[in-house]
Amino acid sequence: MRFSSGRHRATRRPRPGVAVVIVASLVLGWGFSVPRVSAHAPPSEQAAQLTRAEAAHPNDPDLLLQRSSLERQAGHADAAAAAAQRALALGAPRAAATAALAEALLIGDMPGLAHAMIDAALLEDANAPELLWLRGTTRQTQGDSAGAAADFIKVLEISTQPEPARVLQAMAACGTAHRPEEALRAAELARLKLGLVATVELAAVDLEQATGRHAAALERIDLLLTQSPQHPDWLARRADVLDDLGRRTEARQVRQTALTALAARPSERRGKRLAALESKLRADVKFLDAPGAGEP
Amino acid sequence: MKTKAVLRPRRLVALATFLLGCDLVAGPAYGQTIIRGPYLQKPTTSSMIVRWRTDIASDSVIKFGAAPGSLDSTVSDASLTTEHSLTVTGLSAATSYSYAVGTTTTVLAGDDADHRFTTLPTPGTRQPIRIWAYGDSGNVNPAHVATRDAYFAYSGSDPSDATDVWMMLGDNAYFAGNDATYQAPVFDFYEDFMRREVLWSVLGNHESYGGNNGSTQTGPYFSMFDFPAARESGSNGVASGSEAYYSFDYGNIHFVALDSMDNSRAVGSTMLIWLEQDLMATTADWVIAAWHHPPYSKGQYHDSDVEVNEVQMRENVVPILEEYGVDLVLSGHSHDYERTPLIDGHHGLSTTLDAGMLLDTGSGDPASDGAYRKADTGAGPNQGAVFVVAGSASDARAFIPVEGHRLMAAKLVKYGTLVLEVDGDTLDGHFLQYNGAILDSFRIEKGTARCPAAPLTGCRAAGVGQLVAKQGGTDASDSLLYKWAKAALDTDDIGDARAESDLGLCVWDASGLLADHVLPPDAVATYELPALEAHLWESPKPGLLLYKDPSGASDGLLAAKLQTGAAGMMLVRGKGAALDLAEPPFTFPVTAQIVARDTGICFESVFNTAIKNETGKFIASAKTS
Repeated sequence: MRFSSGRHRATRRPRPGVAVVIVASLVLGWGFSVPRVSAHAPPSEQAAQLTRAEAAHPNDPDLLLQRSSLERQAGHADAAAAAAQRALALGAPRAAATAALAEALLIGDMPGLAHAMIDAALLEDANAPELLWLRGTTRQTQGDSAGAAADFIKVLEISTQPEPARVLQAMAACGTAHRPEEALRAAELARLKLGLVATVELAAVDLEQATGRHAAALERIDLLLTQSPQHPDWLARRADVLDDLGRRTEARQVRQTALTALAARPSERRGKRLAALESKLRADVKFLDAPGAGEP
Repeated sequence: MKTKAVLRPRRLVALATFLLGCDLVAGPAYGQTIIRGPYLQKPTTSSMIVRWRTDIASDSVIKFGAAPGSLDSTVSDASLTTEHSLTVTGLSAATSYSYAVGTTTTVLAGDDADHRFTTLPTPGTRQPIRIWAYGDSGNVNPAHVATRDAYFAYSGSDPSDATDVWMMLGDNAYFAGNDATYQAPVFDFYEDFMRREVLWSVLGNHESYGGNNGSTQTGPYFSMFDFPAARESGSNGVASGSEAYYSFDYGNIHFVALDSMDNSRAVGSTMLIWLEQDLMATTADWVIAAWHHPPYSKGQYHDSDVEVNEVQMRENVVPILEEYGVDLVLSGHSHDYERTPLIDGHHGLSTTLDAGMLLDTGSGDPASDGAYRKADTGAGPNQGAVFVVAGSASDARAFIPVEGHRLMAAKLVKYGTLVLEVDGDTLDGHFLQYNGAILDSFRIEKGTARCPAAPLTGCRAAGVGQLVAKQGGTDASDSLLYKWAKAALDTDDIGDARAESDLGLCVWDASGLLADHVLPPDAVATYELPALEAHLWESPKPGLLLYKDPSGASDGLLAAKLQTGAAGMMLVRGKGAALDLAEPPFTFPVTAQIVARDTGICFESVFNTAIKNETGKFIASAKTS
């Protein structure tokens, strides 16, 4: 059986920039010593490496965008904005440079200017997802929750694989804008593109519950349970939804199922949270068993 | 081999074109070369993704079958691309298949012994599992060659057959982990291995420098790899919806891969909500978590007391993992090897470490001071985990401060990788140095520290035995005493209780187990924090061992006395609510045993009568004639 000892050169030449400098160091270092320049660096060392790379390539827009990012991390709004502007002037991709500039303006507490910059860039590419997301964030900063929600939803529409955290952020923005239907649409988009994701579905269940759509909430939780039929938390939530639907006999049965699922884990395998869930389930069953607590 | 296979037809076509004066090349699918792969991704019990990259766009074809020469099934995609990715489906679990990749007209690679994959075993299957894990392997240098080859040598003639899970812990390519920089230290460096072994990975900071963003799942890293965001690889967790953090199962192990770089690590963040939901669902025997930034480390550049990613993972993520019984946490980032003992509940700065967080202060080395023992099988909450920083696959740097993190049971500034071997309820970990030496070993055993359901057989009878068990009134007044006396007892029979042995005290009656207690060993000399060592045992004179723990931290046991000699004696006494004791009366026969777990020797008394056997009180004495 053969195992490659590895080729010593990358088969593709990277674009000029820090990567080139570092990769070149690695390649040249082969066979002599372990490279010391390349690997890790704290922020100060990263900055030093960037400075060295900038000295070699003073007009590299990629390096300027990296500079802008570093300055932003350090909270230097002016320097971050200046680097982003220069990158733009030197031909950096419009969306990336505008985003860098807008983020610099945001940390400089100038959301209005950031908004205007993003709007101008979006005239060129109305579906640039990062710019749309950034405009949504900017609008949130400006108190325009409806506008923010619209931008976030649009990003979900155009993303092939939206990150669940973004879906939840979009749902929250819709909630703030008093648009629960839009929030549920965000959840639908997520399901369409990601499949059943617990974090999104559970947020949607909460939303359906909060807006009195208990049947829809039940549908969601039932679907989720196909993924993990003995999930104790999901069974407990299903029971709560059934309570809200007035189906207390079923709710009791589901709680018993949840308790059985928990009991399948030896007591030493149940931590504080599962123990608390078990207590709640038992209390709820006890309540339902009390005289007069049957089906309404 | 690969180059010849693709160049020869191209030359022939060129020659034919020249001689005949016509263009015989029907389309772009002719004459292409594989420039990346083939490599394997997102395995399931019934499918596998095979990917490869060509220099010229073509259609995609995979042929697969039981063995080279009999690739009787085909998957294809007619669309022209240089990034080929096909999912082979309809496979059987835990089964190996040979494969070849190419186009409708050409086999570009495969149909030989070097190209094969194995599907996942059914989740929950208990079988020997070997895991190879390391971070920060992004340099192509002699150190990386040596660490890789050391593992291949360790694994025998076919490392891919010997490896079940291969995981990189981030910073897989330097300086910026983008598509181009991944080629040398990953795709070229492991070219042969990747044809047969799935590469799992977590996102490191250098991936982030390469234009990757875990919070948007964008960038070349996410284009190169396919991770099971929809819980495709094993059914023991829940879907994350993200390839930046995900879970999968291999046999009886549930793996959780987290993003310590880009996604929010705050309490209540999406990743943490998912993590808890996922862990709540799993019933796997073992939980192993992995991410890049170590919660405990004092590497040259990376201090877990300072770096925000590390602090947040420790403060916000570790408590959830512990609550749901994590056994092992793997990280990279610091270019060294650091490994904790069995710990629980250490979420603050390193200065807040106290003895109560050290569940076993030993080295965990079964050949030295004994394995770490977790009382129960499965993922029991807060029973301790070992945290490993394995970030020296291609670079090794000193600790800052020089002595490193005070928590560690092992810390090495050496090139090497981590090898884990899980078999049933036992997990072995080894730090494998670049030269093949094993510089650190630890073992976690589950379910071995407790008494079995029925008495052991072949135990040594006491000349005189006494058992007193009281339970009733308040829990604080519960008490237990067992004395095994007037029989020969040698030091070798019980091992060195201070350093090696867990002594078990077990009591059964006809209905089953009544009492289950453990006398733990002392802290050991290999541990580096004398101030945190818990000296429970002392030997005031040869042949006499005394155990004293007024706190009764171990199952309520307060004291023990072991006297070796021809008329040897063992006495164990406990009191309080922490005692694990059934309430008398008991059903005869009642058997009390002391079990020396390291030597496997047990000592017993069987009581067929009692002085008292009433509600809340059992007192018995027995003589062996």
